[in-house]
Amino acid sequence: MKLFGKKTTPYRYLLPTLILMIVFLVVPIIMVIRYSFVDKAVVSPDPDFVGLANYAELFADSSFWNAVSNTIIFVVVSVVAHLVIGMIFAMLLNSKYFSNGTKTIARVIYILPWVFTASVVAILWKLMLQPSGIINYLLSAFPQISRNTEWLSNKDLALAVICFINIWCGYPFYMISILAGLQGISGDLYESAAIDGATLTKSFLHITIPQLKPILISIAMLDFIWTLQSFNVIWMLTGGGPVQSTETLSIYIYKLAFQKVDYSMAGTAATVLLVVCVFIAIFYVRQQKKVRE
Amino acid sequence: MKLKTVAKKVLSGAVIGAMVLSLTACGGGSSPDDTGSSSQEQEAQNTSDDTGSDESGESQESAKSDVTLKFQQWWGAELPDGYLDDIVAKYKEETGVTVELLTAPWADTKTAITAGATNGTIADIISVDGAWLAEFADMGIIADVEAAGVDTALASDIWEVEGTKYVVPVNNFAYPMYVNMDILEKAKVSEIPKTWTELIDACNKIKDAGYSAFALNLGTTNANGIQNVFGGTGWASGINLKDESGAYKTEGNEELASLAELFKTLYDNECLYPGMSTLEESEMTSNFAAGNCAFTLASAATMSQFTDINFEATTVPVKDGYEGESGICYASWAVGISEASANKEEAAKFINYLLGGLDGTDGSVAAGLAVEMSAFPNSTVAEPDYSAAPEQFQSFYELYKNCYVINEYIGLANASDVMTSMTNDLVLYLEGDLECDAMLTNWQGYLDEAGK
Repeated sequence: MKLFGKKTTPYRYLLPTLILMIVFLVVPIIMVIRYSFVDKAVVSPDPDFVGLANYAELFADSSFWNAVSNTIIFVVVSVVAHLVIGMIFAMLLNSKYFSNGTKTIARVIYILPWVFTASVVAILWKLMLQPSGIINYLLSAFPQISRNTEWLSNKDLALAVICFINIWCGYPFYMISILAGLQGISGDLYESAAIDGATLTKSFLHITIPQLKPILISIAMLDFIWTLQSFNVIWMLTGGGPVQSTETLSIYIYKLAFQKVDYSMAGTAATVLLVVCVFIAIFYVRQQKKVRE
Repeated sequence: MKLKTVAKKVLSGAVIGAMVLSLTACGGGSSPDDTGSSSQEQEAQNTSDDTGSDESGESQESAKSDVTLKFQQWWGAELPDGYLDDIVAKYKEETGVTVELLTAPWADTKTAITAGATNGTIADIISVDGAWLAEFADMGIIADVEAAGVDTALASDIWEVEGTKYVVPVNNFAYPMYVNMDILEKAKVSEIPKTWTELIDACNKIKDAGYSAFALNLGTTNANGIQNVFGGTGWASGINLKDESGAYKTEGNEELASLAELFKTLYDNECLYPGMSTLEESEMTSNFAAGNCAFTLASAATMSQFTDINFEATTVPVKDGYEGESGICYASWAVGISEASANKEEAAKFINYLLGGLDGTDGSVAAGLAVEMSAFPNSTVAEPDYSAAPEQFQSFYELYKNCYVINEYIGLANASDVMTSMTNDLVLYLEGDLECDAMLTNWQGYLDEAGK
């Protein structure tokens, strides 16, 4: 086979991308996985191979399971709420009961949270949620709610507040995707269903949802992976505190690497997170394949 | 073959070639062997320069000009624009040695140094925080500064790990207690409290007047409130984490328990600034600067931020009955030389320059930095002139002279991690979820396990 022959043409076109992926994706992943099997990775010039000892230590660490628990709550609540709120807003924007002008204004307003970067979101909410911030000021109209509520500093409230903020800045992605899906559903289907006497609920359950199913599964999978890796907003709002109450896996890994300087354990936890993400990614790819078929 | 096809093939080949070359260039940093070789060449060159040998002065100058030192620090981000650039420009003028400044905020500097040590791009001279000292020494990142040629007589204090001198502080930043005098007046507190009882009384009055009294930052993004505020309050009354032998002793430490109880009293009386468990140092000082609380402990370097309030900087109130000398918490701008540096000797000369100028008697650089940042020089030859400093700093300076600086976390292995764990326990204790004895026992465990 000639090096510059026709048969090698596709590979030559792929080569730049493949090289970039190998250098910036495959090699770092392999390095992190390798860290998980050695002791004192990075910090020692000659780290010892320790087999699965790091994994045993990780699974015996109560802080790891606390991070897993927080991550599960954070991810599940965020993804479900994103889906529900995104669906409601998309249906409102797709509704025939509002004028186009109203819908355009609403679309701009609804999409705003998605436009802000993580740092803006964090600073904005941190200022508003301060004990002396505007949220407590507005809530002072309700005498039964304490005006000194420490939204981010109360370990019983902080995770719920973080979830709320993540929901706020993530639902527009769902809204746009679902709206695109809704606009692609033929009106004939709803007309036929109406002639057959279907109620709005039945039309929603038997036409809208099945038609949107591929989109819903795709965006839910993507959101699951993104939320699982969410770091910036949590770090800037609480740093995983108070008392680890908002410490998700990404924060836990960051602290292991850059506070404890334990790259071996950080690599171990990152590998566990990688495995979870890979499983979801495989599910996502299969789902996409089904849609194409 | 058509010309178009040939052109396409040539173009694709060229693009691939360029990418491979650029990636090779990116990944082709000097190997350790290469570094060693260049290091030897450089050292040979420097030695030749130092001895003079048979070279003319002109050629010595040109040979020296080839040396470029990289200096990773956060100082440039905190000093006025161009201040540090002027120092290195003057150094180049006087010696021919170029010092390239790599400036990042304090919070990013540790990551930059650790990453640099991992991938072989670490700077020659690195700024080191006390909390990073043991980790960097353990990782082999920093070199013995004395062996490299730093004149230890120029520094009042040099940080050591197991007898090896690794890091030289240039400036020390003391942590006074700042007092918002307007809030005190509105709360009818006539005098700045001098004892814990007076502090509690003052805080209660301030709270009753509708103000936040005392700011304690227990956020864990950078868990230094346990050191600067909690520890700083204790050190003022001679309350230490270590016993006479120098070993950490928190379990059963009654003095430490009494310090914890002071903060518990302030917490229970709702006198601590709300949101303490996620409050970071920068937020604490900006809230004080905005006039939102009456007392806080923060670096003297932050004094320049308090432009819109009527404040005083003073020493921390002491435990009732304590008559000994007060300790003042301090942090430093300190520098070390990276073990991987090919120019350790030149790096040491630059550190000597920061402390004592070219001849070891001119402390103007250290003095200038100290005055600019409301700090105290670690140089033995620097004579800072604080006459133009804020009035509050000058009065604090008088108090400072009767105290000693202390920071028991400097040199502690995994200090950041230990302080985070201690902070979490302190939050639990203040909120009533952990007994004081259990907290001190936990602290003992963290301190004993540190670095193992």
